[in-house]
Amino acid sequence: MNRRGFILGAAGVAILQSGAVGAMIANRARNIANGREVIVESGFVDPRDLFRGHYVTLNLVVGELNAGNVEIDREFASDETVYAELQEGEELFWTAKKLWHDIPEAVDAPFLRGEITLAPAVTASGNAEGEDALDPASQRYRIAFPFDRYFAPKLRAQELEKFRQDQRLGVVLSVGEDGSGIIKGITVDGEIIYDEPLF
Amino acid sequence: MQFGYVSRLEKDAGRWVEQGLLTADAADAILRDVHSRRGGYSFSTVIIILGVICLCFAAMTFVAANWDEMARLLRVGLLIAAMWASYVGSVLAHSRGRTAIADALVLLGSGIFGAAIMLVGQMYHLQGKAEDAVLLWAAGTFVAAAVLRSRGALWLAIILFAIWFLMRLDPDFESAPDAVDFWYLATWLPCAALAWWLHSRGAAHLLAIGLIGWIVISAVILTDRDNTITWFACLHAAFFLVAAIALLSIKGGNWLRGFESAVIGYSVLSIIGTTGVWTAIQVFNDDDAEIRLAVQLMNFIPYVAILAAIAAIAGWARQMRSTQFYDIAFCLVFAAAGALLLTQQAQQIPFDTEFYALALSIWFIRMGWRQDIATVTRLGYFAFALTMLLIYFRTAGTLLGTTGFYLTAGLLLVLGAIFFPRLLRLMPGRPPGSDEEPEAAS
Repeated sequence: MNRRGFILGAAGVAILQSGAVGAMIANRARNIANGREVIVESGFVDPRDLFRGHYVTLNLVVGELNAGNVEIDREFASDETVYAELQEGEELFWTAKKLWHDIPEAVDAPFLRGEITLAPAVTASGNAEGEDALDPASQRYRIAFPFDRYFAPKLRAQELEKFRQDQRLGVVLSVGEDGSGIIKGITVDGEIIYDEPLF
Repeated sequence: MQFGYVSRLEKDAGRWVEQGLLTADAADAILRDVHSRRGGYSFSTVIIILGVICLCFAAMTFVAANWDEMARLLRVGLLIAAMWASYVGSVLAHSRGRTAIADALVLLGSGIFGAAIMLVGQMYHLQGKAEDAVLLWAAGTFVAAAVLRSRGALWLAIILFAIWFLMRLDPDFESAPDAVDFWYLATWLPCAALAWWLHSRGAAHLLAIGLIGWIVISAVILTDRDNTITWFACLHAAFFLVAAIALLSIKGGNWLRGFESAVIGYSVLSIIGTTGVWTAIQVFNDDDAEIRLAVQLMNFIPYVAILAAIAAIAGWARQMRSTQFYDIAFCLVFAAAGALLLTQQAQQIPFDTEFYALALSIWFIRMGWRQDIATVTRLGYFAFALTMLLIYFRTAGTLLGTTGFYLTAGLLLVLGAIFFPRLLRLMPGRPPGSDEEPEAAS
């Protein structure tokens, strides 16, 4: 391979790879700018220390739903894609109103795309054989969303660890039209404690 | 250059000079040439690659440790700058003719690219599917390998594509996928083409291992879905087909640029594996409902197509009067016999699988000699030992008993020791210097 060809090739590869990284950041900024903002409640945090940094696991309330409290368009099975229609709750947080297999055109509400990991038919509430398992109120949908952890700087993670159990943790999401969600920030008792900059 | 080649050549050259086959000057010239080519190239390449792997990890852990104080865009800028520095370094090294260093720096650039993807994902809370990030990394690395002809980057790309394939499988196999993932092949083929173009044996080995893994996983998926062992039988026969193609190529077209012997080795290893699983199915399957289904194998089009392909290759070899016809014909015989073994009739013949495995291992040993591939011969011994062990397990506690086993094994070994060397002397195409092998066997 001649020198000129190698220089051009190396420049091309460097531009392409830098471009791919840049596109990840630009896409996110565009989605945040265009998305609808919702705040969903998260269960208390579970700090981890991995070699890649500190992160906190989010237990989103919209990811654990009682079958009796949410409508569905039809029955769900495990591993199915689900779109959770959100509505503004009475308190600080948005809640799930109805679970859909596809985003309906007629409804003008934000939707979060996730995957059903547990459908009510197979939910065991203590004893699967007992009558409890058939009671709709005790049956649950468990939904996995792609945003299940929040990478925090070390100090921020330690702060989050200190919050008391009676304080309410919220995750600010920017929701796209296709159901994708990007974490914009974290709230505690309704107060934004971390606001993600665009870049 | 092969390990031990230079010292062997020195010994041989000394002998040839003594025998008058070579003048002392010519021997000196040959050895000087060999020593100059040795030049520490391969060893220094290894050291450089190990160094680059360390640098990759250093880059990743450094950014993880000193991250918090920096602004986010600054961090991204740092990563991009490190990436560009690697490629600028590779250009400088390439223009000075240090291709090994240039290659290693391309690998480093691609490593930083991967680190950048992971860290941007972490910093900006981008949490899509992890396998998508790996795919992006693999694709970017492949482009770098293809454009800059970097073998190091190609190795990394092959490994990343394999990781991507594994990540796409259901990790707990609770809901086993009912379809074979052909997307892996779509990534495998361009990698194979590039490995062929770059003459990269290392990449070829990685590709062979990856393909065997993919084939085995796919066979498991199909077998699980159809609840028969017909697909498994196809897998078994397909390895004979691959061996037959490599056998034809090794003395003919050399299509794989010298990688044929390795392909034969991998095929033999895979055949030993499938035969082992096969045997386990028969030994542990008391209810032979599944095995009865295999009677239909001879009507199963993919299986018949594989046999027909091997037969066509054998026919071609015969037409060309290739010395390879003998081994290719055996590929056909063993592939066909595999199906017969699973039929109901064969189940009534005692020790049918063991006979099959014994014949197979002896053929492997012999093929290793004929083709001058030591690995195949060694695998043959290994298969022979495994079969002996299997016979022991199956005879222990039966009418034949362990005494019968030892008697048979002893007779086989003694008769083999007497007749094998004589047989070998009659064997055409036997490479010189293989006399020590039968002794090693006994």
